[in-house]
Amino acid sequence: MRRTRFESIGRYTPETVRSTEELVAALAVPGVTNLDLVTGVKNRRVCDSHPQRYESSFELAEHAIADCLRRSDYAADELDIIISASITRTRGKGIHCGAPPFALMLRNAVGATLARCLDVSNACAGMVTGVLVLDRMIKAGVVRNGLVVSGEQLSPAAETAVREISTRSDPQFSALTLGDAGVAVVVDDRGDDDDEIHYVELMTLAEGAELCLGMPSNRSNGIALYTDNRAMQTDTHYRQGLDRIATVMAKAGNGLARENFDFCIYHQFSGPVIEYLHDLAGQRFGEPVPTALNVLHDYGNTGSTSHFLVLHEHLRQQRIPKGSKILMFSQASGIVSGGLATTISRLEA
Amino acid sequence: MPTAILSAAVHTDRDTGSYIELATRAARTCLDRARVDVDEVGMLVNAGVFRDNNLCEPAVAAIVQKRLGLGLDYRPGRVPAFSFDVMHGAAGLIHAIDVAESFLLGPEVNYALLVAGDAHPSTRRDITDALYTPSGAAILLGKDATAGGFGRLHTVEPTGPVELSVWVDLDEAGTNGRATGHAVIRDDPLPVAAAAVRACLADEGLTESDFAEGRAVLLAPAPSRDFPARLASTLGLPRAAVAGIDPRTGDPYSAAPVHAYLAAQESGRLTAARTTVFLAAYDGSAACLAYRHSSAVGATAGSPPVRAGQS
Repeated sequence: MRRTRFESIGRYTPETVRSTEELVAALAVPGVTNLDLVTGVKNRRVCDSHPQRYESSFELAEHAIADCLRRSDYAADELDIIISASITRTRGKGIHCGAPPFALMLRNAVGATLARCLDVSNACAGMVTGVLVLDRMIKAGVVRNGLVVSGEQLSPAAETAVREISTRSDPQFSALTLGDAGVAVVVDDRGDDDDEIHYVELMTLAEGAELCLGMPSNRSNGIALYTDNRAMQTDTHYRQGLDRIATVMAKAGNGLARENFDFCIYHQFSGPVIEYLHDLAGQRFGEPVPTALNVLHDYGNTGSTSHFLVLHEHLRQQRIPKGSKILMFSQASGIVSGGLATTISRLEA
Repeated sequence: MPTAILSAAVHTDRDTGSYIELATRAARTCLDRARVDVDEVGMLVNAGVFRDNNLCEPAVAAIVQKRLGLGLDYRPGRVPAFSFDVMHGAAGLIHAIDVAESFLLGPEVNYALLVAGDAHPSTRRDITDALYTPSGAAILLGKDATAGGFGRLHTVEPTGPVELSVWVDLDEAGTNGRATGHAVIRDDPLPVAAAAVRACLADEGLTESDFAEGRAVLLAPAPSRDFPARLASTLGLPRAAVAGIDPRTGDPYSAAPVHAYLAAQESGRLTAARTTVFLAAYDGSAACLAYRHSSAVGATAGSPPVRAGQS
């Protein structure tokens, strides 16, 4: 069986910082205070909206690929496949692309013209889904390597929320946590004991498929995100996800302790909810879960890029020693749940 | 164990304008025809381009999964279901088949259900300016010791700057963003389609005589009424060996490969075929994939391992 690994990682985040305080000040609903404490998000990055420097999902992804390939042993024309995993596929202001795939446009822009290309779309589990697809294609011998990328221009959904939220129970409240980012990873077939993707396992709990919907608003011109948090963020859903990860570990003859993880990374959707999920995971596995890394405070919820933005940021800050073993927990609209386990030594940021 | 096509179905019902509904019906018909229980399906991939209400998230596949009653929840010991969307314009289904086969080669997934198709984002039935024929198509893949599986995917893509062929302009749409979209046919896909097929035939060792004698059938998409004839002429293949789509159907875009497959089956052209060549093409992109009906050496003419038909 071929062993897969993360060969390189890249990232791009826009320079403009927008605080939760600023967003709240623009809300029409009075009395919303401490939203940063409730969500754990103090700041987020937002794309440049100047017409000459406009940053859409495409630019975010393009810059992330360039950063990734700078640190890769592969040149663009040595890549076998490009998989784009964005929720938002914008090219220019308000232009949402359906075809051709984003991956094709990105492939041509970065000169990876020998690579096959396709888009996957799976909400905030997009990047992990892309890595899962690539992992299986490498193990099946279809390709030897590939690049998974996502550029997420989510700030327009936050702007719609600011315009439209009129009550404290508005389903667009979660959109106030959103921020913009691009990430890219190269995965190849040269895994070993120091660098390996041990497993990627995702499932979709479809009973909750319509509890978080991203779609154009019908009240103003913009994209919007509607989330029924009360129905979506439940112990029942969390426990099923943890059961799945426990089953995957058991199949490998392991429990959490024997896996010896150094860190875990959750989807960056809410600080207090992540803490709760962390405790719940500890209860489920009967032992403490390793340290959770996050970027929620500074970058907010960056959609499908979030797990790899966390990884990149902590690599950049040199907080992840070589040889660290990391477990990523996925939680996404769909409801997608599951995990990715990896040991990393060669990644640098 | 090789991958087999277990069943296929399309729905072009006019009582709904929802792609999600059409895809769900096609998926259900597909499972019924194959007599596969919904709980046995480990993977559902949607390859449609146009989305009801221009939905960005979740994956359309997740909502189809919910409507099917597949994997609504998870308990240890049961088959977990995983769904996501693959997008590549009209070629999405061909790419999705290739992706699904990589999962089917592993131990976790025994059945992969793929859906594709399009309808107007508004889900209204009275829209007459839609560029593509509304339909939902499904194809069920499974492991089968007697099937020959799929060959290598051959693609041809433009290498320079690419213009959009499907998009939504939210600023222009105003409050109508859920019900609007742009779709244009930019280039004749014949040259790229022919190039992808040639590469596939060379890789599979298929010659004109395989098509002339009914051992191979090429499934053509429908960007124009005369496309199958022009494709046959360009490739030097007998016209009868190139199965198109009933011209009355129009262009089903991302569902076209399944429409063509079922049309070829109904015409009897798959009965003796050992290889069916799937093709999708749009603008400057094409994808081509051979399906080998039987792995038996010296296989004689017989029914392919499918239970399918058009609804």
